[in-house]
Amino acid sequence: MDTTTVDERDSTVIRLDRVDKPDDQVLGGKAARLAELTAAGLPIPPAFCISTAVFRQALEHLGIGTDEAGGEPGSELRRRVLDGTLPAAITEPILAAYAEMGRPRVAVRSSAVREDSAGQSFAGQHDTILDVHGDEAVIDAVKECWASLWSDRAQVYRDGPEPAGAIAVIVQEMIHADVSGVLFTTDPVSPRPHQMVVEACWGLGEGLVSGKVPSDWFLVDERTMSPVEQEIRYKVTKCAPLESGAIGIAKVDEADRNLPCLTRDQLEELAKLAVSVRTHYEAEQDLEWVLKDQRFHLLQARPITTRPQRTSRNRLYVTEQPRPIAEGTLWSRMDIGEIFTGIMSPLGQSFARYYQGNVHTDCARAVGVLDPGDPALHMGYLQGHVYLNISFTSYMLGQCPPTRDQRHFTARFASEEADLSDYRNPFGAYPGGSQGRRALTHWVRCTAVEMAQMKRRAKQMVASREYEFDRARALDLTRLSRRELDAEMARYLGYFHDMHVGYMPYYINAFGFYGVLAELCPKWLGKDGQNLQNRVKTDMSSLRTVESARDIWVLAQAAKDRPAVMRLIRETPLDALPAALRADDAGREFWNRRVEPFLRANGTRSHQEMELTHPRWIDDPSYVFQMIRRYAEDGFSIDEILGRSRAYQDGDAAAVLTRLPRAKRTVVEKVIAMYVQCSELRETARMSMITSIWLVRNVVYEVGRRLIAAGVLRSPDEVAYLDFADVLGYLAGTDEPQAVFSKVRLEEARREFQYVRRLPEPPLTLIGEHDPARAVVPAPDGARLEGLAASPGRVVGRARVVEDLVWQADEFQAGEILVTRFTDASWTPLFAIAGGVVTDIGSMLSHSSIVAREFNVPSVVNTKQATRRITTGDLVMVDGDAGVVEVVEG
Amino acid sequence: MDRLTLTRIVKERQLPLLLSATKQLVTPMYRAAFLAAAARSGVLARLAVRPCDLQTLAHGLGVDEHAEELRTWLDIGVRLGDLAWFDDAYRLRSRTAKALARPGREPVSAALEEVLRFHLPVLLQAPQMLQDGRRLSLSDQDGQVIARSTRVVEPFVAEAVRRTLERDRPLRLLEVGCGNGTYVRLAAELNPRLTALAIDLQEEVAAEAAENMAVWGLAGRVQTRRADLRTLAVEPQFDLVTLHNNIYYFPIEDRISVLRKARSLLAPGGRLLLTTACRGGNLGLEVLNLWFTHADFGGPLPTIEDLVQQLTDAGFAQVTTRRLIPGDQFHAVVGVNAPAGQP
Repeated sequence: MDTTTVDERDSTVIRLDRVDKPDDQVLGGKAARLAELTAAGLPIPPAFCISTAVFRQALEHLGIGTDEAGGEPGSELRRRVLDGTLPAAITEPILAAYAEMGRPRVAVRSSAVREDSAGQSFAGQHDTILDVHGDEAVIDAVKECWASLWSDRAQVYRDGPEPAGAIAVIVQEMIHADVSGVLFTTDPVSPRPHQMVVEACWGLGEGLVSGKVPSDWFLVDERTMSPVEQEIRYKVTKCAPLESGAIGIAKVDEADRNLPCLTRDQLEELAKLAVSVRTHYEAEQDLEWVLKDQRFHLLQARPITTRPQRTSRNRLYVTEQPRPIAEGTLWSRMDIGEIFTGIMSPLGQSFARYYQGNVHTDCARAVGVLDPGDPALHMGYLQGHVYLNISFTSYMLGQCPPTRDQRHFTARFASEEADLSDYRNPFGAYPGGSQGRRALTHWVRCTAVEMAQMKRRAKQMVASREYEFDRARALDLTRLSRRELDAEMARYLGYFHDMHVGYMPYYINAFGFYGVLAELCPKWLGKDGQNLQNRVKTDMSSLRTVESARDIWVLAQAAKDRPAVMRLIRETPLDALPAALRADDAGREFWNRRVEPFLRANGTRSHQEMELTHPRWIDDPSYVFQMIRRYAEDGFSIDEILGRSRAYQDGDAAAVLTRLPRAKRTVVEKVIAMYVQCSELRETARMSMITSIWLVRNVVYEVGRRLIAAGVLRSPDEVAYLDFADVLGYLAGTDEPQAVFSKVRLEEARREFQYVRRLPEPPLTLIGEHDPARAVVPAPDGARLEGLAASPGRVVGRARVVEDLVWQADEFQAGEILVTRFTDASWTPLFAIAGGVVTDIGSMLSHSSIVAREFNVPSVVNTKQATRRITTGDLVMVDGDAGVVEVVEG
Repeated sequence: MDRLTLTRIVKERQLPLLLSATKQLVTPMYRAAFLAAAARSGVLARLAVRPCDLQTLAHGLGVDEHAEELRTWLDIGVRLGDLAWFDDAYRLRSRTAKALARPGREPVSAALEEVLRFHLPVLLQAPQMLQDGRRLSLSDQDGQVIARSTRVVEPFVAEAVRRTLERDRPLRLLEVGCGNGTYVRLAAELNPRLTALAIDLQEEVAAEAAENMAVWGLAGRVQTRRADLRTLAVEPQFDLVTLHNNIYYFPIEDRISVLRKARSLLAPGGRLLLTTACRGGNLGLEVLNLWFTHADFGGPLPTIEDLVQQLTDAGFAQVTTRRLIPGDQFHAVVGVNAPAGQP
């Protein structure tokens, strides 16, 4: 190599538009493709490539032989490349090419010679350094790309001791995109003829790939070049250069959030571009594109290897079922505990599977079911969503007197998507006779025991929660051996089991007593009874979810009393805030005396807690601090709100009861009391259940940390693609992590998840199987939405659509109407300042309903369409008595 | 012996003393030694099934070549009245021999062996050892014999474990000085979701415990290894730390720091269970105390008051004690590692 002439050396830094014959061996795969596209006249941002020859030259200069690459430890080679100084002979041509470009901001990407297409986006992907500026930074970024050839991650899945190969580097003008996205000329997972899939987000594309920012989804028919289906999301966040100079998540301007990222014309232009790439290669393509100042640029093109569609895609059952059952089963994901609602990552789904196999039937037993049947029948999975088998559950609950008549349980799941008029439970009714009598006796005994011990158990659950929390806080999981970590996981899963089993009777009994009330009130009191039933709310101020709002309010007052602390909270970026507080004297005092106790009481909350990838408040207190900022600004007292709700109830609801004869009145009062008690205990127990999930999550993320160290995962984001069963298998054994976590399966999980994430959300309730290709039901016209009257009262106010709680918590103005898809306990603090609450999903017993009633906020839930039909700023009327929402002024 | 000598001996009244000493002191000791050996070698168990001739017993012991020497030993047993020779076969004769031969009585014969092998030497040599400045060391103990003999108190320790152990939630146990692992096994059976780390100072004891865990099917839940609590570097992951019959293996001046170390491995709110013989109990316990006061490790048995004080000094809260054997100084002590900010 040392005989290389100057001329040859020059030609080893090549502008992509001057490449004659793109050779993978010289340019690496990625650069060769870009050179081809450039040559074909497609819009590729200006770029040059530093060929593999330069790489070899640099290695030689640094004293690293290429065949040596297999021998020496990767970390050592990497260090030598990063720390080494390069001679001018190598750096000058690079900097000359950079100068020729005009020294813009650039993205520096590796372009490896040997990248197998299957693992390309996962293990084989070497580094990309964004937004690089200046000579020195460019050279450093180039070295980083070279060094990535020996990253742990690149090495761990490399088969055998063969040398690592060579690597070229692309230096490309950085496009600070207005819109970014991907386009598949055919759907890689579920191909449909003539239809292209486009996914687009505001800002840079990095957030889209990692799934961190919301995106729009379009299905474009290539014959007409126009969209046949689209899903426009409310997009709160985007990936963009931050003030600090780094690339990170930022807010989208309010005006743009509701708008589609691409117009019809732009979609057409993009689709035409895609067709020309496909024509050029004569193969289906996966494109990465950006839009800047109304111009499209292509960043990458890769062939798609389409796979045969999995036949089980539309089926929810986890095991094979006879046809009448598979096609006749009623499924719902409404009210199956808000910890499940919404899409779940592969990790979240596999954890749900663990729950199904190991915990759920014991929960059924805990409510007095003698025979819970096959665990495989209880739950189903569809497009990343978890469903409860309503047919089997109602069949099973036929063993218990309050739910013997299946209609009580089933009717509430009727919705626009699922017409129950022809529905017959494929499992039939639970048999009577001796089997039924045995089940009845069992239920009576269980229920008697439950009534006697339910208060005591709730106390125990609280005590054990505090114990487990304190214990976990004192443990440094990073210091545990794998075996100890395994024991830790077993312990937490045991606790997880117990807390779910302990929680379920409160849930079911609250449900049962509410059902009794719903039957008695209209019968005995007519319309007033219905009002009463809706307004049942005795002293629920100790509901833990409400308490969390009160606790944040108290925390906000404490911060307000410490001006220095409040200034820190207001002025420090959220992600740096905990460290900033602890580094400051007053801040530390506030943290230890106020924040720590708050986190002990509330810190294991999050949204959709069964989804293990969601950080809990204690893991990421951003939302808590957003709410502190909000509460500290508003001049109201949370006690006033709670006090108002109690006074309201005393004057009104109790009055109706005096019309009843004494005996009936006693019955209603008793039922109300039991309902309230069970609801309260349920909220108490729920916190223990939530904490148990946090404990499991901690171990999963510790495993994730070890997998990153071992090079199996690239970043904590990829924990989402792990299979929970593999995590358990890894902990229980001694195998190398790469033997447990197969690269192919990780990649498959990632693709599958990205696929389902861009599908329209599957229905809340459905019968049989589901065809995602079937067109979504169009939103009905008109400005009137009907739902469930969840909390009484009428209110008119400006709507605010909230898609991302953490990012939008500080935007929400007191008195606005909160419009969102669904809520769970983590939303409570927002309810305290909301004028009304409207959700897409929900029932009388869902979190939003309970808390809305508690805060005396009119609420309509289960409108199905609210977030699609209402936009931020609309003037809407919420009628919490009739269950109607109207857009008064759009 | 000539006549004169005989006369002199009679005159000095040594003979009656010798005769009476033989009967009252020596013979019981011989019997104890014979029975301990007969129990340990399996001869008692074999004879409990049926009378055996010499060849059968010799074969059973694997000493067919030395049958005659074995006969000499067995015949002493006949002389001592514990065996009988009848119909060309040995059989059990005394009530003590028959009682020791019953299954499940191994701890008693092991206790007998412990007395002979460890208690007698220290009684015999204590003054001499003080003069020579010699101390007993850990190698003077046969860990396996001790492990078997302490099984006499097993039911009482087990009772303490049963009272202390929570059974309805997952639990992590650290057993310090696990011996053959019997209490860890009990705990694991009482709480099927218990996992444990069992440690013992002696390599061979820990190895035996590990083997036992495998045999009992507990190897997955119980990790067993040689370790010293004082240098054990693990995270505070335990809900319960147990020390059974071994606090006196630690020098008296170390005990508070040992207990403090145990507390540092407990979760906030976790508990310590310590069982031990204390001063002021039966004679055997006093000799045990003697042994440890003459050893180059450990120290005297504690008094129950000392123990409570030491636990308190080590930072334990809510220290409670319980007498495990009615009328004797065998106690369980429980202390709580109080969470921060709580008394």
